[in-house]
Amino acid sequence: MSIPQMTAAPASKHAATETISPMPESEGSREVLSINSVTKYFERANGTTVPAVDGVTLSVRSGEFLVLLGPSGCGKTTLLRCIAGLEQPDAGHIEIDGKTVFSSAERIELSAQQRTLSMVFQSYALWPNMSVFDNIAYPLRNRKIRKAQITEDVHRIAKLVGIDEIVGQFPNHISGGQQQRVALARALVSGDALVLFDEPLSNVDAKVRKDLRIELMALQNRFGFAAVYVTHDQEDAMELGTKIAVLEKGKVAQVASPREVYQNPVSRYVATFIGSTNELEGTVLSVDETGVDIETHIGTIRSERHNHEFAVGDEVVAIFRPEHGSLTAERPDAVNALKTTFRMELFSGSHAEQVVTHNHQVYRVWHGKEQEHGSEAWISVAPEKVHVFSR
Amino acid sequence: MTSTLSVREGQAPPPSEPKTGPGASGPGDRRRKFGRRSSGKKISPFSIICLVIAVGFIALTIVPLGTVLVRLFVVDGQITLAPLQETLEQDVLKLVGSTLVVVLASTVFAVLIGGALAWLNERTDARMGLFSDLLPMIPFLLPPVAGSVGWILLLAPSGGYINGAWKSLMGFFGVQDASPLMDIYSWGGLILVFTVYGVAFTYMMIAPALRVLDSNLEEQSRVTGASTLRTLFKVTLPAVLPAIAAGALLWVWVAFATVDIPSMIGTGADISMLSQRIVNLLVFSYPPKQGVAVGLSLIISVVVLGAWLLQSKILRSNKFATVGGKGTRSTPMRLGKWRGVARGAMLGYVLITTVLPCLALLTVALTGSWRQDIDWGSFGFQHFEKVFSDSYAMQGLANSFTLGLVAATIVVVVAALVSLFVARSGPVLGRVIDVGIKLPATLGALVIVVGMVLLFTGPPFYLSGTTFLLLLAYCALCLPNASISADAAVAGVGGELTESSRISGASESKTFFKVILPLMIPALVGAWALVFVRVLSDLTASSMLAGANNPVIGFQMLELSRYGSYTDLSVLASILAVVSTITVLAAVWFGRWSSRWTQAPKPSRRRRPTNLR
Repeated sequence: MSIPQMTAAPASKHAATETISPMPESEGSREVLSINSVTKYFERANGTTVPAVDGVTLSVRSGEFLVLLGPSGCGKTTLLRCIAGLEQPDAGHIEIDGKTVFSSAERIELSAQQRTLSMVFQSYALWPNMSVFDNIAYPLRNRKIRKAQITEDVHRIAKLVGIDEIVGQFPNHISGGQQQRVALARALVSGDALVLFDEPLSNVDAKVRKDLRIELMALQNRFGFAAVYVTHDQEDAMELGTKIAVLEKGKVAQVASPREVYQNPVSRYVATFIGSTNELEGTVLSVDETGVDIETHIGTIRSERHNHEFAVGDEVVAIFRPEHGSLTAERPDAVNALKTTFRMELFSGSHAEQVVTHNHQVYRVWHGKEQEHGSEAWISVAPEKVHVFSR
Repeated sequence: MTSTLSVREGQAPPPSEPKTGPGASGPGDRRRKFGRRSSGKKISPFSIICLVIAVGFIALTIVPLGTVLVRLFVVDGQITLAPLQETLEQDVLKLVGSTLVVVLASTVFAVLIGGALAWLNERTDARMGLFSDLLPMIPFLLPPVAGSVGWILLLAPSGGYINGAWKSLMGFFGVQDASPLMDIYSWGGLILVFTVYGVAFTYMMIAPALRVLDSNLEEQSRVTGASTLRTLFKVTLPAVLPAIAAGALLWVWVAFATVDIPSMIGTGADISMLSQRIVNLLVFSYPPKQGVAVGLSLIISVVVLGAWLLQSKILRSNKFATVGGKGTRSTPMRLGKWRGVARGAMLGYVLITTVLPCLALLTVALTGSWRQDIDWGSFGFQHFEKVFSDSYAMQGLANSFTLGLVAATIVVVVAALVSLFVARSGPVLGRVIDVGIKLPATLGALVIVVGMVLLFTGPPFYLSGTTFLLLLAYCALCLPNASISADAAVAGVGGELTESSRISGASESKTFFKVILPLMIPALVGAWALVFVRVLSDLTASSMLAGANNPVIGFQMLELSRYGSYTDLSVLASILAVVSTITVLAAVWFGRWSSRWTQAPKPSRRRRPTNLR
């Protein structure tokens, strides 16, 4: 993160002083976005109301990259549009850069154009009637900035995102990846402290996507803006986010760093939504100081994680990730040994996945060797890697 | 003539009502809310103006329609069934019968020809790009009122150019006094001209359906060993059957109420059709027989409404399920040695149906006489000069052009405002306005004009014989077409493009002038041109609302055809055809030029790899 470079970053006058001066360490960074109990109802066609966003409370500091992750229909885009001012929440409080932009209690509601933030849309929303230059210059022109300054700023940001050579072109004459960069440049050019992203990478192919992710992170490091990024793609979320908020039916299921969300999911929903899992439903057989034993249909599995309190007889599900399981042809000398039948090996380059079944239930583990189809296979997994959630 | 009607679904964001007690709304307080609402916009002066305009224009169509309905049962303040009885005393069955025969026969032919042309042009390697752009435009390039004159010049039993050529050809083979090839003043002639214009409508509906049809479906059929013909009948046709039915019904409802062709040709053929009889009763009878005209209008309304309802049902039934969703590409079917034949047939069709009538019109207009032995030395503009020096003719031309310019401008501005308003207003209000603007004028053009005759020509308005009344009628009739274009334009601009501008801090007015308006202009200019041409060549309103005091081209052409002065008629028809063609082509060119930034410079989809030739 290089502060000297940042002073050279294009920024409108008012934003320049705000964004650049107090940046550095994340502990000292200021709160750019704070959302408090924001709720938004939608009316279904049959007249019933459903909460699209249900009492969400979140905050983002400068330099942070918050990813709103969830399946379609979980309310993540609605939440983003509420922040942007494109939707009006029914209740709650939203503050951007210390300024209240929405408050149901104080009856404050600033329109989208009054909020100082930028947004990158899923479709990029580049105006086809304006050249790339005019597209990028548009936010600056809305802020009454000198012409020469605008030209300088646009060229600087264009160079930074690698589209300097095409600023004279029209949006429909450039490639999808270039359009993406133009949209990014337009969002960054005014130097707003908060940038919103609505699944901006969902329209480009996998390779370009990977490159753009790295560029996006580099740009964020350089400018230090706070980002809110909506996606349903867990790879995007894991790689980009400094913080992931997993949404479930309009509510925040868990907010934590990507590592934390992956390693210590708080619920079955979060665990299964991020990464792949093996799920074993069963009942608690016994509880002791270090863990619980669970009776499942392929044997008893022990978990030694203390994140939940369970009693004997509770209906639970034991979850472990494929990379924590090993497969052997003989019964292993381990706490957790589960007997299954070998089916196939799926080789994916970086690892090989061994697929086994029991009673038509499929399990996958990443450690082990290919065996004969239909032969006996034993899964072993360390008890501290087994999560238990109530069903 | 009208183009297809589409009414937008209520997907627009509703206007936000003033917020009430937001602090009180906790999770338990689930107030009913509309979805996808744009942020707290208050009722703006813009909305109020738009609403007033929209309501005014809806009234302009609804009130005359209501007048017709009332006049059916109330005469001089008395409730009576006299109009219905008078109507039934007429030769109603014969009128309905002959109209049905002409309309249905022309529909069958139009579907066959339009479908064949669409299939050749969209699904086979005989395709010619020009065709798809040109064919649906023919009613605008050569308006029916002018085209009918052209066909008379070609196919009149004794003087028609084609019949003359046919006779000399037969004479060459030794057949003396051969009967004419075809008599325009007959069932066949009437059906022929109806078919020519019907093809534009059926093609317009069928071609797009064929264009987006996933060619994998056809390829799958051919891979399993089916022949080209079997593939066509078992796979392609069933998939586009809804479009075919929709096209046929569209033409049924347009043709049933069309005034142009029956007025120009039907009179000479001594075949009475409903629309033409209504004009005769209101304009060429003294005293005008309003009761019967109203009764006949009702019959037309019923048929048109029925056809429209059926069409909407078919289009809404969603049986286009076979049309591929994701980026399907259509690979043309190879016709082999038949490709040349197919192309020849398509070109021949255009030659016969548009080029020949135009040539006939120009020949008569330029030589000043309609004779078999064309005097090649007498070509010149003498006859045009004669018409231009005639003050009555000039008055008609001047009126038509002025009305065209004014009506087109009003209609396009109103259509744009209403479309923007509908897109921003609530689902209920938006839908009501949308339907109100489009439906009555599309389905009831003829009836609305009849209503205007009843409503405005007498007390208290006394607008009879004024150009203002014509302006009202043209605006009312042309608004749906312009509205459809404006809707498409607004839909293309909406959503993220405008939201993105607001996020960038632009004010509402800046967003409008920098983003919305520039993107709408190409579509609006196109709509303007079509309305202008339609007003110029209109006969529906012109035949019933124009007169000696407020003549327009259409009315004068109707008069001239009754006197049988075909040279003057040809001059007016030529002017109409030339002006229409130039206007429409200029608009098409402008549309392409002004939206050049939206056309990606990708290789044309028409280009085939060389190894396929």
